[in-house]
Amino acid sequence: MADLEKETYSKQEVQDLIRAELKTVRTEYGDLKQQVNKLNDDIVIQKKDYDLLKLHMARLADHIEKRKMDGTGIGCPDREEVMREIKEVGRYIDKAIGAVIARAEKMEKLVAGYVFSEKDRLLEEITHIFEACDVQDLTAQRIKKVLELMGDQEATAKKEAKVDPDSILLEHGPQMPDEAMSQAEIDKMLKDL
Amino acid sequence: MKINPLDFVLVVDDSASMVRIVANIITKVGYKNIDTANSGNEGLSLVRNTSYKLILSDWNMEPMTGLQLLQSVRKMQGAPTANDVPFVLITAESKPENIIAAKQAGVSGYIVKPFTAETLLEKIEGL
Repeated sequence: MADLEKETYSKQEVQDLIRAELKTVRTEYGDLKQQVNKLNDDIVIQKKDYDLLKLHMARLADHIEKRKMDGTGIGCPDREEVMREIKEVGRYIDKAIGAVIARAEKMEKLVAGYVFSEKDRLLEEITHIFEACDVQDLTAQRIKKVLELMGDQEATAKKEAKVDPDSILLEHGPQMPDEAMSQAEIDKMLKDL
Repeated sequence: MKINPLDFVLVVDDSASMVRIVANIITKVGYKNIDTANSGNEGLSLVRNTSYKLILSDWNMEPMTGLQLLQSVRKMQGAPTANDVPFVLITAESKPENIIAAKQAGVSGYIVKPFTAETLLEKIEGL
């Protein structure tokens, strides 16, 4: 091996130094070309992993952002769209029931002006149409409940505008049929209180 | 309660459909003077200017609820409507705590939605 302390080297000495260094590298790391290629492969694999990770992170960030917008934590990626659709359903029902009531009122007035054997029965049937129209109110209340749960600004603002904020505690909206008290149970409770 | 067709009745509900439904049903027992309000505040304003003999109100309204309207009516002094006027809540709220709160506020009758014309008329007659 050439003397590394020397200040000047002959051409032969430099070649010997290089050969010696290469021999050391080969001994320690194997074939350099192979190592470089292997390193390159690793970099490619890591790049693929990195790209995949980046993609997942972007998706995750997107989900987190959508969940942050949805203050309630309900995992609904198209929350705004869902709320718009729900409101539209409410508007359709409102319009349809309004039309049904208007027709029923007209029928009632028409029937009232005639005398015929089935008049009372027909008026009773019209009353049942009116009764069934409470679907508009009950649906609207359920829609309101859903919109509040989804954090709809309009619904939340209305709730917050209550004269007595404590009254919110007593507002549950329509109960599920199997959870609601019946009229008979309510009558009994009122009587017993 | 003896029904006098000339008595003034107030129907309060923020649902226009419900106001029409209830008003329509009570005309069947003969009531001719039916006023309607679409909010608790509007209802209270009417109560302060007219002598009602019966009030039928929804609970779930904004900003003033039917329960608050009831409480305000019961505290009223010197208004044309007596503060002990029969007051019926017609509501989808059907939890025991609601019944208790309504009773404490002085409710005269409590009808849970959905209801039938028969139930409504029966409750009015039973007041």
